[in-house]
Amino acid sequence: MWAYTFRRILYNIPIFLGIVLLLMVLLRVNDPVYAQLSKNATEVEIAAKRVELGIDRPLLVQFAEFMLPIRLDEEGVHWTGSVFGFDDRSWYREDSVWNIVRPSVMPSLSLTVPALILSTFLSVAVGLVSAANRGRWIDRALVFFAVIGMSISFLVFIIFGQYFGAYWLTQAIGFELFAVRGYEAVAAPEVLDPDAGLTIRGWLNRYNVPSLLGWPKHCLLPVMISVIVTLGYDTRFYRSVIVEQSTSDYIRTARAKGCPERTVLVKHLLRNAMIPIITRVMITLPFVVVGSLLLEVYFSIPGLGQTLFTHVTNKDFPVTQTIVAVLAIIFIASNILTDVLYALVDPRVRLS
Amino acid sequence: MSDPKPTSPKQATSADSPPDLLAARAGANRPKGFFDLPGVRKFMRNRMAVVALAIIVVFFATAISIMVPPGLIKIDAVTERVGLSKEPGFGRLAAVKDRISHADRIVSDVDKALRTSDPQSSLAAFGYAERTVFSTEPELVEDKLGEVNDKFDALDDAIADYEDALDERDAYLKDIDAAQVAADASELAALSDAVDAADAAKLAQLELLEGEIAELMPIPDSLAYKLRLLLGTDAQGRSVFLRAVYSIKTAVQIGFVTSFIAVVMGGLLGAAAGYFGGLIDHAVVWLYSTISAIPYLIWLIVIAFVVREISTPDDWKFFAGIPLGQTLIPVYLAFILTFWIGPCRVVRGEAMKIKSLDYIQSARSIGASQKRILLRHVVPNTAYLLFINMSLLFVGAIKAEVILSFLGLGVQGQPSWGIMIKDAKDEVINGFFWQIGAATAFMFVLVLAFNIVSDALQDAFDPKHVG
Repeated sequence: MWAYTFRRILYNIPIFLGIVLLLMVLLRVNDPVYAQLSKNATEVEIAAKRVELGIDRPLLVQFAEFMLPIRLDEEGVHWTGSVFGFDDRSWYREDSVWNIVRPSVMPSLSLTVPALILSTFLSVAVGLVSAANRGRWIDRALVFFAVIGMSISFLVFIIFGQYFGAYWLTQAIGFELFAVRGYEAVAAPEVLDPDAGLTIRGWLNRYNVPSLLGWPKHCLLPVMISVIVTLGYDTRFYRSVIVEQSTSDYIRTARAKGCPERTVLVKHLLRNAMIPIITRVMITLPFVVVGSLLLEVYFSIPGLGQTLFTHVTNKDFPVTQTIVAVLAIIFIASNILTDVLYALVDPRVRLS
Repeated sequence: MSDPKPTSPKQATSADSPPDLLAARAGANRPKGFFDLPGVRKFMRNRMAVVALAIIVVFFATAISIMVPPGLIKIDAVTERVGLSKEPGFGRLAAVKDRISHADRIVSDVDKALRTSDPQSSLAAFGYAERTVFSTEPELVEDKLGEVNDKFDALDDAIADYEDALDERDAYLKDIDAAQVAADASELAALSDAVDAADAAKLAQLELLEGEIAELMPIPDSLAYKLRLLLGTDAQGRSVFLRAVYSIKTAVQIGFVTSFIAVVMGGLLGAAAGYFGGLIDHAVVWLYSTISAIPYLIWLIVIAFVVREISTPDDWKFFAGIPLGQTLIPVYLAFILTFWIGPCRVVRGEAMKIKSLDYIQSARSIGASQKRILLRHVVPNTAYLLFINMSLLFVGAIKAEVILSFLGLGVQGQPSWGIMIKDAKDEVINGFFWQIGAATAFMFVLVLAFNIVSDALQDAFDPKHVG
């Protein structure tokens, strides 16, 4: 297994290099210098800015500096100890990339992890109900609703979710159950003192972990909207997976030997449907990390998606490159993990 | 794996050497035309899919008739003011507050026209589409405006009365506690009646004012004008109906161009990778794993953003010197770069399977070139996958356009459902649903039709698909 994992990691290195290189090339299609300067900048100013931003050097040098913990100049190679540009300066805010990325990870996760877990369990359950009643009215109704849900834009779900869940509900019950903007960390950042890193609370603050009481108010509504949106796609997918399994011989055998229907569905069928279910969940993992950009924008949650969007549109390349590189690593790791998980849930799978 | 289509016309006709009996049987079973193909027949039996297909055809026809000159709807028609802001559709009355502000708007607009140095021509030029001032004689209009203003003053008085009545009741309720109210309900009832009466008087006054305004600026009786106000107006007084219909063109254009190019590109790359294997396969797989490692929304944002600011060379025929951001090209590029991966994956897998089938072997044995085998045998036999993918990508493009437009990276300079939904964001808080409703409904019908058709296509042509 370790040999297999190691081989997979080696195999994925060119993919990782490709992602970062492709992104770096794409971002340099437009000369970023002009965005950083006013229109009537002189040649000298432009050249100086280019040196300051470090984009005067060949692309491959920039690429190597990004990937390896080194810095290259006339005097040779220097050890910097940080990879993927975490210690670079942001071009948009006076801060290092790490300081911008760090507080935005947890808000994203606090939104998308509950949504992923909830929607997976719900849609597997609904898919099971639908498949068990295949062809009957309940199955038809569920499939019909799934298709309807798939045909409405995500944005419309968000806008109406906000209107009814926050605005209308607040008027109906007299107090604000769900808020449409804001995010509460465990404590406000200004409370943070330099030594706080040592305490648990300080650590939670550094990473902008949501407060337990603030979470339902700010994050539950977007989580519900996200679950409703995903339900349409996932239910249909899991239903077809389960239907496909239910025509296999082992199900017929189980029924023939007199297994109760519940046991057949849960013990035999669901176990064998684990592989596609795991694949689907693992495929969505990178999206979980970047968060639901739209939800973050609409509910003003300072997550990774919103950070990435703000910094892309403000031509902040260091932050963009770092976030994309991290996402790529997560994607590759989740791919490898998927294969290992296959072997864990299904003894027939051998990693070789 | 049974193949729903005849592999190639050549094979069907080359069966003329065996005995007659066999030829006759082959002829009897051979599909005669497009509608006799088993997959097509299965598709046509699905009544819902046929209806959905008809709806798609209607949408396409509308899009083409807008696109082809002279054009069913011109771009000027969707950007001009046809009425007051945020009028509801189906001839319904707006909220009282909005009705008053509409009246106010008309009065101030007419007044502005009268105050110009040449009132006659500015009155002639003024109007909301076909709805113009009843006369271009400044004196006549001035008189009428005077009458309208009288009614407006009366309305203001009525509003003041109503507010006084409200205040009186509130003051009463504030001073007195609940027990006393229960003991002596008559006074409160009297006060409430006064409020209702003042409210009714206010409404009556408003209707009188609107009557005057209808004389000042009569609402045209023509069908064309009614059609424009069918679904109301947006915040800038533009016709929601026309914008929603015009957006069909935007959606179909984006959907068709991107899904077609993505499917052709993905299909060819996938077929080549699957059929040739080796280095080509490695290169294609590397390319699509690289691109699909990043959530496509991020690619969309980066590409749309990067390409937008490039200005086109001056010698380009159609958009000389226009920044690319004002065309649909960034949207196309962003979608195509991410969309070709789906069909490429599927076709690659299918091509790997087809490569070892008998008819490919026989084509090779009679000396067909690699290119010919690829284009005449492999690609046509994956055609059903391409069609299914195209309809899936079409839906994907329409939905992604909404998201890009919301983020400000999508369509520019023409209406689209995404732009309408984005514009409607603030209206919804004020309880105005016409714009978002219209955009959603139009989009819903098209996307639903495509979803149904792609399901039916999979049922009919994909043997692995479970329904």
